Amino acid sequence: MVALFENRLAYLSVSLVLLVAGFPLVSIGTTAGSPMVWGAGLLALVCGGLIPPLQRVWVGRPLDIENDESQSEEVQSDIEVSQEQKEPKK
Amino acid sequence: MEGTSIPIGWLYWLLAASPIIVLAVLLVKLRWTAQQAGTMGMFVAAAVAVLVFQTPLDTLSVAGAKGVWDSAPILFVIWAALLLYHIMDKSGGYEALRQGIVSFSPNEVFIVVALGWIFTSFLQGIDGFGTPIVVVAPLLVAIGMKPVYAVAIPIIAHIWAKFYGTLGVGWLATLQVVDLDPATIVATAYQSSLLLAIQVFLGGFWVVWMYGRWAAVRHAWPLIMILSAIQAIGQVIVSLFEPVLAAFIPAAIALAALYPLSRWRRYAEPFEIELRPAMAERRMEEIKDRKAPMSVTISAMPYFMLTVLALGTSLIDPIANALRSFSLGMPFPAVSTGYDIINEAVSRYSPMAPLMNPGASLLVTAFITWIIFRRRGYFDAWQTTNGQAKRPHLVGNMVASAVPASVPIIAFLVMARIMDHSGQNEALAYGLAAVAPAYLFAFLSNGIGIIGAFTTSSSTSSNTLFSGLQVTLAELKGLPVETVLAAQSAGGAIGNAIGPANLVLGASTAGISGREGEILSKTIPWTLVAFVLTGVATIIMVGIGM
Repeated sequence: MVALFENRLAYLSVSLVLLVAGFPLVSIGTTAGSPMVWGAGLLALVCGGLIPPLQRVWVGRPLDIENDESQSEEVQSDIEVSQEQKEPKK
Repeated sequence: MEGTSIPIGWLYWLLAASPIIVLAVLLVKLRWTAQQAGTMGMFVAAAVAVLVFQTPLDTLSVAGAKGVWDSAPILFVIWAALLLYHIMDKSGGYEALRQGIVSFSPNEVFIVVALGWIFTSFLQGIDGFGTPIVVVAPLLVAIGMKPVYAVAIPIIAHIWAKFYGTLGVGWLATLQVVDLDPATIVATAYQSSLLLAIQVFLGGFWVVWMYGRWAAVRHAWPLIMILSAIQAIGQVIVSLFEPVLAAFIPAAIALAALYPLSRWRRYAEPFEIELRPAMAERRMEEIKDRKAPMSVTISAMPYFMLTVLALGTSLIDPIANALRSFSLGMPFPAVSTGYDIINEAVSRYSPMAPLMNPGASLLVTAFITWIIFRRRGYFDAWQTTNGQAKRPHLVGNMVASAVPASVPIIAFLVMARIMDHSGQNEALAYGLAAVAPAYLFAFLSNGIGIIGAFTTSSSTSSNTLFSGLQVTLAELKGLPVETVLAAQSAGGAIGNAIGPANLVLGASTAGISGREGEILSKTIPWTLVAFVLTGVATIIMVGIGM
């Protein structure tokens, strides 16, 4: 679980999938009068929504953002350098 | 209070406002990322809805699901815009474009005005859903602007065109939710454009002030006045005849006016100032040119194509009707709360016509651009210039930047829909009306529009949510309906400057995802000034009996 929370793209992808999955489940469930189905949709929304704040509590501010901020202070004065950091030379 | 069964008092008002307060504090003060702050705001709204506003779980579920669907048109734009962004970035397109922009005028403040204010406004005239922000932010970064400013500037700059922009979608939405006689419709259109004029002038001056403080303003004021006059007076005039084109026509004229203005000696020569807080240390013309693999014309081609596609799909009726015929949407049953806030059943909630969405134009543009650039070998040439061995993975890059942008946008809109379905929005609006005498309410009425736009990041949604309510409150207070509606329209536009989804959109294409709070801290002051000036203007309009 902690490994998931350390990969920003991975945990946000899971969050996104869960949030999107909630939409059809709730629509179908509430229209058909099936509490099981819309309950699953609500659960998906809750779980999808819980992931980003849980990440904050367990792991802290995402590392890549911290890095972006510290780098930006140093390199914003030089567009070239900034470009090279985005696409490091092999 | 008359008109609602929700108890209106300080406690309810504060609780209804708590999702917005929590969101703002987490973003700005505690510097949480938009993903974390947005989802927390969503849970606060849900908790208040269930525990205070007597919202059953099925109503909460429906509101949450509708919020997810509300985000679909915006997500389509951002995914397609990010694909175009990576195609341009990885092919050297931005470098070619930057060199072209620099050669157009050596005057940096002129370029910032042209690109950050006028081009952004022009795009808002035809496209919406944040397209101007996602397109212009990377262009500003390319000319050497700091990313936080590169997002804040287009956000502030395009606000004036929100209401009549996207070919009048905000105006049309307002007319759908209120029942007005023809004379009131004309008066509302006229007064709205008068209040929006504040945003034109304030936007122009603010953009230049952000770029280079007062020294830049002293240099650029004739330019700002001319362009503001074209946009503001143009919008007032066109709104009287064809409100649907009231933003597009003056924005297009202002864009055309840039060429003669660039020949004016004042703006045809470099302008040297020491303090340029928005820019990196180097001057625009001093950034070392790298060999761009394409000409300026080719690099600008995607933006011409985007403009042509957006205009063609919007203004040519047979094409627009054909594209509109395909739409998507899902049903929802009627839901209610313990305070009798009822949302009727719908067979298809908020049908989305994907082919009419600006995302479709962006996607087609991106695809054609990719084919042309690939066949001409621009990706390989740019790799060689940068000494890279590996080919860029465009789709992978798009996903990596679009996913972090999508989560908070969904969260913000789920929060907004929960606040709407539980009656929290209603409590906020009625709360303001309950404590404010008529003239104070006139002052605050644009604030209701701002709240709507802040929670939904959409001028149209704000007007859809609150226009009917504003009419009711205006009648209760004995105020002219057209003036209060105009204030709502102006507020609905202003609130976009702090709309979290707009911040996320810009941050994602400027490469600073997660730093939305910093952008917000740049746009909040403009929002407060615009709110106060609009409030004062509303009181004057009521006072002189317009």
